[in-house]
Amino acid sequence: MNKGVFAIGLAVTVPLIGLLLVNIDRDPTSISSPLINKPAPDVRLMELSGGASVQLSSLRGRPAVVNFWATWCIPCIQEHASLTAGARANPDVSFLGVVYEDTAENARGFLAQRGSAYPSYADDDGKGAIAFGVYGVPETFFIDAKGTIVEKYVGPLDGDTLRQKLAMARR
Amino acid sequence: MTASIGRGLVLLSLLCASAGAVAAFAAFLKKRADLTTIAVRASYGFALSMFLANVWMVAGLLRNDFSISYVAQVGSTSLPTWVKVVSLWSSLEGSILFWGGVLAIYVAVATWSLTEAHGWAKPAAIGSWLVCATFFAFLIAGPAQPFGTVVDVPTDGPGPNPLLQNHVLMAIHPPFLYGGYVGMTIPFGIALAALITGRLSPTLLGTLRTSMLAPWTFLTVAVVLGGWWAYEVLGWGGYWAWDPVENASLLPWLTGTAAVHSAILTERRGVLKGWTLSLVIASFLLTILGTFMTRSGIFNSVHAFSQSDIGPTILAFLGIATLASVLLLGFRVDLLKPDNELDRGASRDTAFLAQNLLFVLFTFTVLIGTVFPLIVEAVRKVQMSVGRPYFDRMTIPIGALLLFVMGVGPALPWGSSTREELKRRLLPPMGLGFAVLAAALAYGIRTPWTLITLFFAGYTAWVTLFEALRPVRARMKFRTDGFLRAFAQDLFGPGRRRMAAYVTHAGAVAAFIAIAVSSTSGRSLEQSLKQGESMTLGRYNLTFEGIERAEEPNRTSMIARIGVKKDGKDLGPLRPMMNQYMTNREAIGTPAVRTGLVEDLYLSAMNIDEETGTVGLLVLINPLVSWLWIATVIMAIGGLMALFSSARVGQTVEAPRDLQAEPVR
Amino acid sequence: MKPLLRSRTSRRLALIAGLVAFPAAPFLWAQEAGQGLSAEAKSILGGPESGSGFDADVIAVLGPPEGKKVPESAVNELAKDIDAKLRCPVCQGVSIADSPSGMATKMREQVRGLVTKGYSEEQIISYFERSYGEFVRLEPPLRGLNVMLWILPAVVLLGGAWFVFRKANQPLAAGATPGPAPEGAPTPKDVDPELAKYLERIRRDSGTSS
Repeated sequence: MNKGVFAIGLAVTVPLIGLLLVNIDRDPTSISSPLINKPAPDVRLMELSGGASVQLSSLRGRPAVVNFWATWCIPCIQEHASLTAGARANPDVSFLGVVYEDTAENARGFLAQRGSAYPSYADDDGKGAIAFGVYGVPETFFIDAKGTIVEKYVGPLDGDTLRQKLAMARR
Repeated sequence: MTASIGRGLVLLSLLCASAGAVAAFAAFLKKRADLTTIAVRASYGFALSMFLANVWMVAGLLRNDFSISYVAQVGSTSLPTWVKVVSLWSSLEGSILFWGGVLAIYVAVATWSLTEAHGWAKPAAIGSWLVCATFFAFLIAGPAQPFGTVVDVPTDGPGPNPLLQNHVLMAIHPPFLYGGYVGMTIPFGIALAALITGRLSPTLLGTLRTSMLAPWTFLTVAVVLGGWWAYEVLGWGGYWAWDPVENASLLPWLTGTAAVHSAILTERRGVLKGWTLSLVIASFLLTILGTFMTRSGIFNSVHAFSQSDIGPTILAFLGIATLASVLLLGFRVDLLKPDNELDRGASRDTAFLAQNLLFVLFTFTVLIGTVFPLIVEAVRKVQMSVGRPYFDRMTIPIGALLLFVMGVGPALPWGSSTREELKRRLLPPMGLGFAVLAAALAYGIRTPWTLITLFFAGYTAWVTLFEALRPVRARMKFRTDGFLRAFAQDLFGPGRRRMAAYVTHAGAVAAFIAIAVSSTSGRSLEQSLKQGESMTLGRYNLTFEGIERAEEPNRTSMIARIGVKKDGKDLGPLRPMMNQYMTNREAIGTPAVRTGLVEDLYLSAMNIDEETGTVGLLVLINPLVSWLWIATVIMAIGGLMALFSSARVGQTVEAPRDLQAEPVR
Repeated sequence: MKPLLRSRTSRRLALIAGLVAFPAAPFLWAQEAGQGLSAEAKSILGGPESGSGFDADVIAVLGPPEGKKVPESAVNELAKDIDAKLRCPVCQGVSIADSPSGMATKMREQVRGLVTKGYSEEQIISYFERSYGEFVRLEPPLRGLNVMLWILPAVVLLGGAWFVFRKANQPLAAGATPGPAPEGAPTPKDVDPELAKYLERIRRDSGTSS
């Protein structure tokens, strides 16, 4: 019985197998956002009609919902109805859409067709998406009145989830 | 019906494998030769049924038999024939079936090659192989069943992943990779047999060596082919990204190369028996780890198969195999006593040890870099990345040192030597080292590690050539033979194995040079061009001539026709393209590469805008990349030469008859 | 040629110094890691320039630029180096330098803009880290648990080297010969001594590989 072999063998293999075992359910694509409980990035977004721009910090004082979307994104189209309804039901909250990896023209056409209850903004140079750490669409950020991001939701929102997250933003 | 035939074949293979494993170990424990015969028959039974299962699946794919679940998953009526065949390994279930098929061939050949001379190691090895075969047959029969019966048989299927359809390397790289990976099972079984029987006889060692060289050769080619494929297809201009799955294919190669070298010492001197077996076992276990990393879905990789459930099963097998190996090694390695002592001081033995150390360090570093994000997540609950900057920084010095040891080692004689002799052997190669260094500086290379690597490359090239021709020169001297005759006699005689090693080393030197220069001395430029506009990089002038379109059943391609001129001379157009597949949102680009011996001209269309008539063009000049592909062919030739050469130790050059009474043996 | 290191002790000290320096080499070699692709000083992909004036968000996060304004000719080189260290968030493990995706292109533009304004490499990387987390750094910073990435390989190197060194310098067991006794070889006095010397050399070198 060679103690050295046992020692080295087990010292190398047991931690490795154990590590893989502990991580067996790991989803490498779900990255947690570092922005939770941090101030929302103060980016400047252009209006879709190509006119004025809005500085995000100007929305402070009210809770806000920033939703990144695109016309080619099926779940975004699905959640559009919930968001529109949510915006109408919660006039004390600022709702914003930000177009991600898509043209203003496509976005305008979509909104003209489907209607909208809140403004959407273009982000042509991607600065908004980069500042918010967006990996894909749809991603929705819930911001409280002081301008702190309280929650990031990845995926299409339904009415209940929206209500629940809004409650967090209002606290 | 056709699906159930496939399932039946798989079940039969599982039955043969498990029964054979039991019979084999019973044969060993009870010392009964009749049980060995049963195990051998079961081994062939497993091989035949598993091979037929593979044939059946390919037939199903060719026939568009969508009643078989795997065919419904990856088959399609609109595919070219070769794509239908290669879709056998394009998706997870089929790839495990393919693994079984390759294992079937290896097990059959290996079983056939075992003889009475192997003694009781024969059933022990067969038993070990069949245990592995049982696991894979179980995977195919259970969690990764490709022969499921489809209830509502569709009329067509989606076809395999589009990225796997646009290059012929899809037909070559996976078979070579499996040839390497799966092949490691055989030396693993032999190593276990040596530990189980408590004896590593010369016969068994010879078989171990052969069974290690075959997968090594396959794996060498496969790893580089993977890089070549990425280079030709992915469009970023490089061939290695330290992706987790890429690392997974490299790890067994590293320990395998160390094992092949350690086996030389074991064969020649009867030393390092336990260490060689450990390296062989590690190579196999790393292939299972690699399979786990590729198929478990827990690693972030562009090469990974889609999420599946077989991760835990593979991990369980890995855990059991690892534990069994450690236990066997711990309890039995002391029975394998060395026949000699290692040479001391500056000797070739020490060089072998140093080389092994470097390979182990390389393996460990790549492994820890790959799994480190998992460690950090478990401890700090934060996702982080370990990417190319880390791996390059750590492995370049190790690689350079390996290149150096590859020069110093063969230059050192066996046994101890005097200081004078050491100087005579170790100093002259520096001449070529300095010459290469001077050439590199003249060419304009300034990166320190590249220059160091090139110096070592010159050194090692000299030693490799000098040592390879040493017996040839001796023959020429004593027999007054011409060079060709002496060379042929050496190559086709007892010197082939030795020559094989030097051929492989020569290939390795070329590979090191290619990697060092291509990664650091390339040039690149990215520019947006309107139709008719040109850009210049180095001696090349590139003009955006126009946009072409190509329609295919599964994709639409937008092609940018780029006119290429070098030093004013027209070289013909290159056509990088953006392919829009029906099943993908983002277009996938295909670069256009003009391969040359000195450098590659590499064009990648980053975006093609038909409305504005512009193309975003990335131009790269990659020096010496083709040397890497050529070097791999040389290494493979060396591996094949070694495989088909005598394993007998101690062959010497026959002394000329007029000088001596009897030949020296 | 006079030997440089006379005594065994000084040779050992030199070897130890070399082994300790070796793990440190990667840090000294900080410049050359990774890409090192040289580039011509030309414009890159056209696209909207980085806005008029400083971005409010950048100022809020980073403060003023730490470096000086960078001349046009050096921007590409610096930007490329930084691109190689940032992970593309929407791809599988490649840097933004190597990714053709839309987000990577926009990130490259932003890096370029920040470099032009004189922000340092660490500032720029930390800007993206603010949004995407540690995940976006391809080279793990040397803090906390990450030092294990360098310490563990160093341990393997030093441990292995000590082992090899010990083996190579172990005194021979009494009477043991390092090399195998050649079997059946004629003793030197049977043959021409010149030939014997060459035969001995060939016998030891040829046959089995090197």
